[in-house]
Amino acid sequence: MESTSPSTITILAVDDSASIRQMVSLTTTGAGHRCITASNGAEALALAQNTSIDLVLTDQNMPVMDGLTLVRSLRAIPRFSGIPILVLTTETGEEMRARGRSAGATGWLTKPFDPATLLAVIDRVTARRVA
Amino acid sequence: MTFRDEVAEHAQTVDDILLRADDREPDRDLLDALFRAVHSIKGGCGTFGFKRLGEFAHVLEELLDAVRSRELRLDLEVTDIVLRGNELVRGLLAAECDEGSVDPAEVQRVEAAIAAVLARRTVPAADAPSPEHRWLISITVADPARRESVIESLRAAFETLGFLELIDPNDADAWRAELRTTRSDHELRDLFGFVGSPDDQFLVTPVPAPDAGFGFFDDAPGAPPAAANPPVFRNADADVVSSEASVAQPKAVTSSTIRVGVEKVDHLVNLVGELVIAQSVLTRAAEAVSGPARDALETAVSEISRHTRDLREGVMSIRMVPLGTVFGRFRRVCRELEERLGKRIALRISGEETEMDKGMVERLVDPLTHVLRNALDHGVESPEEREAKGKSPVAAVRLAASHQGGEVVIEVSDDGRGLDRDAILARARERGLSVSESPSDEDVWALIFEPGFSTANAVTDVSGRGVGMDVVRRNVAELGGRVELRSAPGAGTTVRIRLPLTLAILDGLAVRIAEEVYIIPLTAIVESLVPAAGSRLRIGTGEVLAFRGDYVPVIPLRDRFSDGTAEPSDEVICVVVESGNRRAALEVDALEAQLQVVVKSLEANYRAVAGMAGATVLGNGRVALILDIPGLLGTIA
Repeated sequence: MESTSPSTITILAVDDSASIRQMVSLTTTGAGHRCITASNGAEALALAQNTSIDLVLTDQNMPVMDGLTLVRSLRAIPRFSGIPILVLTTETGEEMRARGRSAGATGWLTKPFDPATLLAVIDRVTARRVA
Repeated sequence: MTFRDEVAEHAQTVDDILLRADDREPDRDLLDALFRAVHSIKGGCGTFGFKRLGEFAHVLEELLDAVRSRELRLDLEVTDIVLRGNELVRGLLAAECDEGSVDPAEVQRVEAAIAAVLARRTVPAADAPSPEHRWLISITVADPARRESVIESLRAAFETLGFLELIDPNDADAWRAELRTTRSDHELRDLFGFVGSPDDQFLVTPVPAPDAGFGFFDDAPGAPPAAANPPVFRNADADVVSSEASVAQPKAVTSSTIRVGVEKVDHLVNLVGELVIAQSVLTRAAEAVSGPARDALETAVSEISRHTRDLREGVMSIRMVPLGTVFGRFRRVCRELEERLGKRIALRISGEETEMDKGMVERLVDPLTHVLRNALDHGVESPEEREAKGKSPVAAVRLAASHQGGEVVIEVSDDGRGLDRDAILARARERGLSVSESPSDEDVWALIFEPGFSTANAVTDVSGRGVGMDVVRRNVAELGGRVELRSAPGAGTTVRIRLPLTLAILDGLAVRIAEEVYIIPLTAIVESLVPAAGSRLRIGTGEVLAFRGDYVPVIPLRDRFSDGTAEPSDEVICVVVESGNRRAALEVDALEAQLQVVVKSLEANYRAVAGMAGATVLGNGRVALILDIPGLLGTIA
C-alpha cells in the first residue's frame, strides 16, 4: 500500500469532463488524499494495471469505454474485487442503479455533487478500512 | 448523442419540470433536477467552448440554485423567467451551431430579470421536511381480461391523490408508477382493496430519497457496513399484499436503454427497405422455378419473408417515440392561453406513451397546437359564463392519444359551448359556400374545414373553429391521416385525428396507367369504380363524373402519363380520391393489387417531380411512382 496512514487513500477519478476531474482532484488532495485521474474507461484501466488504488470514482457516459464497462473490467482483476467503485451519475433512477449494481459497482454518487458530499463518501470508505 | 442533443434534452427536462410544477409546490427533488439540468448544460459548454451559451447558462443556474435552496419561491414570475431563459438556451445553442441568431436584447432582458429577482432573495427558512411521500407502486393483475379496467380505475384514483408518474409503460407484466402524495401506504392499499382481487399483487415501497447524493449497494464489493448506509430501496423492504407469498418479489428492473443517432436508425430503415424489395424479387423469381429445387426454395423463401417482415417491424419500432415527448409543450400552450384569455382550464393528458414515427410526431405539433388553441380560445367559455350555465368554472380539456388498429388516434376535446350550427350555416352562406337544403350536422361541421370559411375577423359566436381548420386538415392529410369532428351544443367539441403509424411504409393500391404501374395511397381512396354509361359529362375542356350525388372532376392520367404509344384499354376505371375536402376521379387502365410499399424519396434519389410523392420498388424489381394525391388535386382549377 502506498497509503501512509489509514485515513489517506488513493483515489482514481474517471470522467471525460476536465472540470469534474479537477474538482475531484482539488477536493481530495486538499483533504490529504492522493488523486489520479483518467478521462475515459480505457485510460483508467491502463492506469489501474500498475497503481495501487483505494477508491474509484467513475462517470458513466464517456467516450472510448463507458463507466459500467470499466467497473466490469476492474472487477475482473482480482486486486480490484474488493475496492469500492462508485459510479457518478446524473440519473437518479432505479434503472441506472440496478445497472450499476449488476456491473459490480459499490454505489453511486449523484452529479453534480459538492465537495462535502465527496468527502463524506471518502469518510465512509475509510471508516470501513479503519474498522 | 452529440452535446447538442444533450443540451436539447436538458432544455426539454427544464420545460417538463416547470410545466409539471404548475399546480403544486414543487418538492426538493424536482427543484434539484431543474438545477441539475441547467448545471449540466453549463458544464458541457465549458468543455465544448460554447462561450455565450455557457455564460447565460451560468446566470440561469444561479437563479435555479437560489430556488433550489428555497431562497426564492418558484412563483409565476420566476417560472416565466426560467421558461424564457430556457428558450434562449435553445436559441443560443442554435446560434453556437451557426443555425440561427438570438436577439441580444432578449438576453439582456432575461438577465436583468434574473438579477432583479435574485436581489430580493430571502434567507431560507429552515428546510421543513415535506410531508409528501414518494411511493413506488407495482401492480400485477392475475387475470389479463381484468388488467386494463383494474389499472385504469386505480390510475384514476391515484391521480386524484397526488402526482403520478408511470415508470415503464411498456412493461407487460406489471404496471409500475411513482406516486407523490401526502397519503400513507396504508391508504393506498385500502384503495387497492376496493378494486383488486385477492389474486392480484400490489406493492407499495418508498422511493429512496436521493438527497444524500450517494449510496452504497448492500453487500456489494467494497461497500462499508450496512448500518451507516443512507436508505436504499431493497426488495426486503417491500410491503407485500398478495395471496401468494412466494410470488411476492417485485420484478427486478432490468429494462435499459441506449441512445442512438437518428441517422443510424434511418440508415437501418433504408437497408431494411432494400431488403424487403430484394425479398419480394426473390419471391417472384422462386415462383418461376420448377423441378426438384422448387420445394426447398419455397420453404427458404417463405422463411425469409417471415423474418424480413419481423425485421421490418422491429426496425420501424426503433423510430417510434412516445407522443408524450411533444404533449408536454401543450401544457405550456394551455397555461399561456389560460392567463391571456382569463379562462380556467384543467388539461388532462392521457396516452403519452402512445408511440408514433418520430418524423410524424414532430410534424403533428403545429396542427395539434392549432386545434388546442381553437378549443381554448373559442370552445371554452369564460368562468362566469360557465357558472351561469351551471357548469364548473374550470373547463375540462382533454388531449388523448391511443392506438386503434394500425392507426394512432389523437383526440382533443373540450366541454365548452360546442359548435353553433346556425352561425356556421349563416357564415357559410355569407362566404358563398355551397350548402345543401337540409344539411346534416356532419355536413355543417365539414364546412369549417373549407378553405374559404374562415377569415381573420371570424365572429367568435361561430365559435371560431373555422380559423385555420383547413390548414389543420391539410397538414394531417399530408401525414396520410384525416380529421373528424363531433360537437354537441353546450356540451363541447371533440376533434379526432387519425394517423398511420409511420410514413416510411404505406398501404397502397397499385394501378396500371399506360403500361406503367403507379401507387395510390390507400388512405386517399374513396372508391374505385367502372363509370356507368352516361355518368361522365364533358364540361368545357374537362370532364366530370357523377359520384354519390355530386360531380367530381376527372383527371385523365392516361392522357397525362402516356407517351401516346400505349393502346387505349377497352374499359376505363375511375379511382375516386380525396384530400382535404377535395375529390377527383383518377382515370386508370387497371387495378393491379393492394400492397404495402416502402416509400423512397424522389428528391433524395432523383429530383422532385410534380404530382409524385415518392417512389418504390415493386416485387418484379421495377420502380413504381407513388401519386401525390394532394398535389394532383391542387392542379384542378
